[in-house]
Amino acid sequence: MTQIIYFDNATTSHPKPEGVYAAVDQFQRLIGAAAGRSGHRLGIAAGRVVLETRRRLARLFNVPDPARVILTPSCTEALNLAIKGLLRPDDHVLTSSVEHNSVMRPLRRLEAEKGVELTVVSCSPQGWLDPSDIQKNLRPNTRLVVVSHASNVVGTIQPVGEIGCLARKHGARLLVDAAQSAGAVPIDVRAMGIDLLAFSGHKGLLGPQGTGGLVIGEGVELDTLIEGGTGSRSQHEAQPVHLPDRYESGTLNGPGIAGLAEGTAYVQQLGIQNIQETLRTLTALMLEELARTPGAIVYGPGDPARQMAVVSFTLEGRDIAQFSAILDQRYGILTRAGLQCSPGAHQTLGTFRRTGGTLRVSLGVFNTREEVGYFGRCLRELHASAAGGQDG
Amino acid sequence: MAETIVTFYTTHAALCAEEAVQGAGVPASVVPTPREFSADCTLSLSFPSSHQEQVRAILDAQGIEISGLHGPVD
Repeated sequence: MTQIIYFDNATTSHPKPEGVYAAVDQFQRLIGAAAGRSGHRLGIAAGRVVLETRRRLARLFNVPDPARVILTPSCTEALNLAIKGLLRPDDHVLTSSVEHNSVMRPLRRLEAEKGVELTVVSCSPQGWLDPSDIQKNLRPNTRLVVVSHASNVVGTIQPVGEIGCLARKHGARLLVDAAQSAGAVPIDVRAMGIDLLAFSGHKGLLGPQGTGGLVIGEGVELDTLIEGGTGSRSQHEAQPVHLPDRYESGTLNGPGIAGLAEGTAYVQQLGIQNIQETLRTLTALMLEELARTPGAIVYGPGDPARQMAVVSFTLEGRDIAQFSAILDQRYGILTRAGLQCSPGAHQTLGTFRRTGGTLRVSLGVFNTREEVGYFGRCLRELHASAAGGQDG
Repeated sequence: MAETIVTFYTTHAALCAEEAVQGAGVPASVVPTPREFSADCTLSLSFPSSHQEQVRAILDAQGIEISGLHGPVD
């Protein structure tokens, strides 16, 4: 198989640590049972795996009670649970102009159909959300502030702690979309005043696809999104109230969760600070390579200290989708071109109409300096060879 | 030997309880919940009744909620 260079970790991380593949296989081979259902030895073993996963995640995010780490099939489902579970008609909600569709689509639906008032606070062209703009837009009926910890398009890391403070003073809840940040930057739900933390299991936490979760803070009451079998209170046809069961109807993704436990352990072993430093170094190298590429326009902060290892750029006079395809076909470099499910972000950056989005490179713990250097050389070779031509 | 059965609302609570109680040296284990006590949750904690008060104290200290306590049963 040809060597590939995977620069699409913001979509999903690849590869995974070896232990993650093994954990998924072992769960299926040796346990196989569903957690929280039958009382036999395999069912109990499955339950222990799930408990351990909750504990590891609770330690990572500084959550006092692991039962408040609800496991979901995805960050999107966690966001839907939080948004739809909290907001009522006539509530006001604030969000930023660089959110992913997993935030915007549920909010827009509630606005259109359920009488929820929505204010989208504009970010700067680099993707910054100014906390004073949040403050200005708070209303007596503001119930929730929703913000991504880091933009999936330009990587801008938002001042979540400050925003949390403002929300709390106002009596509003803070929901943070940590899809891009979990496992890559420190997250402390208590210190940052985060009431609801939605996270993805298959990006920075290095788990398999089909995993994610929502941390529900003490005192936060959410309506359920899904009701069904929980393996508890089975004599009642009403959804149980006790956590975590209340928000976990249906069979959990046991193999996925087993993998997520290993991914989380790997992250904790490496250490978030080390991961952050490594990714900052790679981001700095990437920005340098792009700075040396004639015609490359880079979006976002352009500062490794203030962004994730996510860099979006366009090339003057080039179709980014075609360029991305050639990077793949000719050089085995895998990137993502387009709107990355965040039309608002591209509106904010000015890339929505002009270029139809950006070419995004997103680095992970398994990427290397050599890969970034090679990418830079390929970029310049490709761009130069196509100068004035159509063949690119 | 007389056993005590503690029932819970969730599997999560039952497994946490088992760990906490075993960790304190009590010979306890999760068992399928006898139907006469509860249909609430599949798993209950079973241990010798002589440890009943000790177990109650451990679960209280850990904030683990129980749905019932039945003992001694043979």
